[in-house]
Amino acid sequence: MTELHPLLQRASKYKRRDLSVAPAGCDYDDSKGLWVESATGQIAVDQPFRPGPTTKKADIETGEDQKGR
Amino acid sequence: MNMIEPRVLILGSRFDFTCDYVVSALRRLRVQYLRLNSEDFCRYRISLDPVLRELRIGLQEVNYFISSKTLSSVLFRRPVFLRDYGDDRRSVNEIFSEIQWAAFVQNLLIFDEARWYNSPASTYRSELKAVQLLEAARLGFSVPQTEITNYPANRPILASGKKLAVKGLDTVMVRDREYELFGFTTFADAEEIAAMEWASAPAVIQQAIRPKVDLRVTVIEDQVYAVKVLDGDQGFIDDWRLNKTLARFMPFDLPAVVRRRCTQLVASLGLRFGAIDLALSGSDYFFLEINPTGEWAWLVDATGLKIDEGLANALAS
Repeated sequence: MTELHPLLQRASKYKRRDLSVAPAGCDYDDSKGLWVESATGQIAVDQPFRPGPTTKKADIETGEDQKGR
Repeated sequence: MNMIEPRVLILGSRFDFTCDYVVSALRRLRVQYLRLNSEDFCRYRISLDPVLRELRIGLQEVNYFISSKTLSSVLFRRPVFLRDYGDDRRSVNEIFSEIQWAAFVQNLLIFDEARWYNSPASTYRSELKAVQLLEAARLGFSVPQTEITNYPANRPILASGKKLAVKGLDTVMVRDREYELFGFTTFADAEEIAAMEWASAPAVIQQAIRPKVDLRVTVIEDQVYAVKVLDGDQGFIDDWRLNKTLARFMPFDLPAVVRRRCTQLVASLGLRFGAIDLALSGSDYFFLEINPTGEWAWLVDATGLKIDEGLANALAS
């Protein structure tokens, strides 16, 4: 098998990125089970600048494959 | 030490912010919950009695006690296939740990009286594209003519002379050192497909639906949230995810019969949640695929649809 399969030939190629990165200015709150703003303790996803879904497809398309195994 | 008896268990990852949407909504409902993150398992003190069906978890100064009598529901946002994408940079211990914890999570199916969104067993079957297409066709959905093949030459699907959609039978993703390859649905003519060398892996070759408007239908039991995906005022010709910055998402009213088929499809696959991709062409609603662990949080932001609250209400009921 020397030639790439057509699905791989047509795939997007990009630099790998670590999606396991804390949202800026936020900490994970173990007791609440979600991310909070470091400065205020407010729930991050309730804020206007909330972190969006960052799974593989959320980032590359919009969401379904690798939910952080 | 505090002892908490959660009614809702969330199995996810700390970097899966969609879980945060659900947790926030559960907090507004004042429901006791516990979120277990796959990367944090080694920090928990965990013990499971499979016969008494009791799960004890300690984290710092807090202890959680889950029993089959008190657990109402489980949100399971993890893939069930441990896919090998290649170029593994993890240590032997990390690989071993991941495999064993994944098995642990699946063993939580002993809590079979709880409502799972979704059960790993149902998710496993529902991720199979052939099963999805068959179930959808049985329920009356229009389904694109499809062949799963590694030898498309001379197959009937190439005879139509129409444009064809080509996609992987499973997620097209491979790691290559510092790079990653990710495949969307692409389109090709029959002659182009016939000339390519497909033997090394099967692919899904389908009649391309054109013109079409893509619809994303998020189903939570009998709740249905439908959205159309637009490029300007029209649907995308190709896979909208290739031009996602242009995509607009608009709430969409499905006809009652299609809405019912969507909820029936989710139920027939043994699911309580499903993210369904449809293509509207003329007055025909074509089923493309369903994702049992599909993403939806971006739709909350883009459309204002309260999918997070809908899921939290279902988990809490």
